[in-house]
Amino acid sequence: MNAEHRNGDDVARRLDNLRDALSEVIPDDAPTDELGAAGLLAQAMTTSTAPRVPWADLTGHDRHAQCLIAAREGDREALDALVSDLTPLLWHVARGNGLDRTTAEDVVQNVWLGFLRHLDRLQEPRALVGWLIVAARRESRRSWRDVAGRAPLSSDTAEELPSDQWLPEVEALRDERDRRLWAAFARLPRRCQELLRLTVLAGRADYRVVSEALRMPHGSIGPTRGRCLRTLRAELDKE
Amino acid sequence: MTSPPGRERAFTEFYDRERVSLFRFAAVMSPHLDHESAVQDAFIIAWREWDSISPASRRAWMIKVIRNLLVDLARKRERPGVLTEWQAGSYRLLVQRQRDPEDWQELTTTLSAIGSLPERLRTALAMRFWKFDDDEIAEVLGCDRSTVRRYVSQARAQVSQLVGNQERRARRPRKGNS
Repeated sequence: MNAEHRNGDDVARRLDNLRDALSEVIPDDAPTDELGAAGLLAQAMTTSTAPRVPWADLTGHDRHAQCLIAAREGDREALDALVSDLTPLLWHVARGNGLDRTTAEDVVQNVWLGFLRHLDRLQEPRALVGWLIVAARRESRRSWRDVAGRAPLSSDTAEELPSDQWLPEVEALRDERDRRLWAAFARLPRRCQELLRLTVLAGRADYRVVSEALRMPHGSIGPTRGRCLRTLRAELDKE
Repeated sequence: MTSPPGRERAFTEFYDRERVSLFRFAAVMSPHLDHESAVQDAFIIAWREWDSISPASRRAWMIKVIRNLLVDLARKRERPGVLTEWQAGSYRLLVQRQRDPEDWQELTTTLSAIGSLPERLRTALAMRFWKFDDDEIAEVLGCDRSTVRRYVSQARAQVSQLVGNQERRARRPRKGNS
């Protein structure tokens, strides 16, 4: 259409004018700008060495490994990052081993103390999470034995037993939904509970760690987790 | 692996060769934002990652980084995408050499029409505007050349509609009611 054509021409003219105006404002200046380039290079140097924690952009094992290495050199911030990252995980390991709240707190505390004692002796920084989980399990069993005055369940016998003595704490049973959920959770086999705690509740461990901690083949974690969740749902529906 | 002085020379050459076109590109993309520092920042990032950028796509790589930086800048504004009078006022810097108020008015309305285009159309138009070739535009946008041509013509049509409507709106009252 004629009007459309005119509009198109108008846009072309406007764009040409704009290009001319902008080319005048941002001219083809001196072909070389060594000072400008040197300024950029200098800025790149200074900003890259600016104080910035090396683990800030990392996640998972890389992050923990970086933090561990820094913590060895006495970096308090790195240690804090590790503690705040991994305490929820240790907490769930301890609770999953049937400890009450206060005992679990002690266990977590002891695991961190043990970690500090072993700081220089941990061979493989990337295996830190696995190390902590194993330490938390051992520590939990020791406390359990201390408290109950008898040998802890082995993971083999535990699977066979109904686990009604592993009731979660009263504090967690605040509302009806939580109460029902936790009650159903407590009726799950202990291994299921532990798996769900590690994979769902702690939300931080990846499957490699879980398979290490539970001595389970990597490939069966997902399906088992699905079965545990289905069992949990069935338990909930039964009520 | 290039030696450090060789790297610096390569970077300086790249900077000298491309800086003007990149400044111009950024100016059309986001005249109301601090487009100059976005370009500078992109050069700094390019230097840090110099070895991982393939020499053939350095300019396209820069365009992508500049776009992202400009998007970040725009997000920091209260209402991204909506050009306020105050922002439009900062076009003045860009077209200050135009002394004729009518010319100035026309240039700013054109610029703000481009500014109101969706991101992809705007990139396509701004690159075409400064004579980047279709292959490079396609690389930046991650599409093929025919899509680039479609984007450019869509962009022009939308600009045409925006600036055309303004003229029609201005003229209509004189024509009287239908």
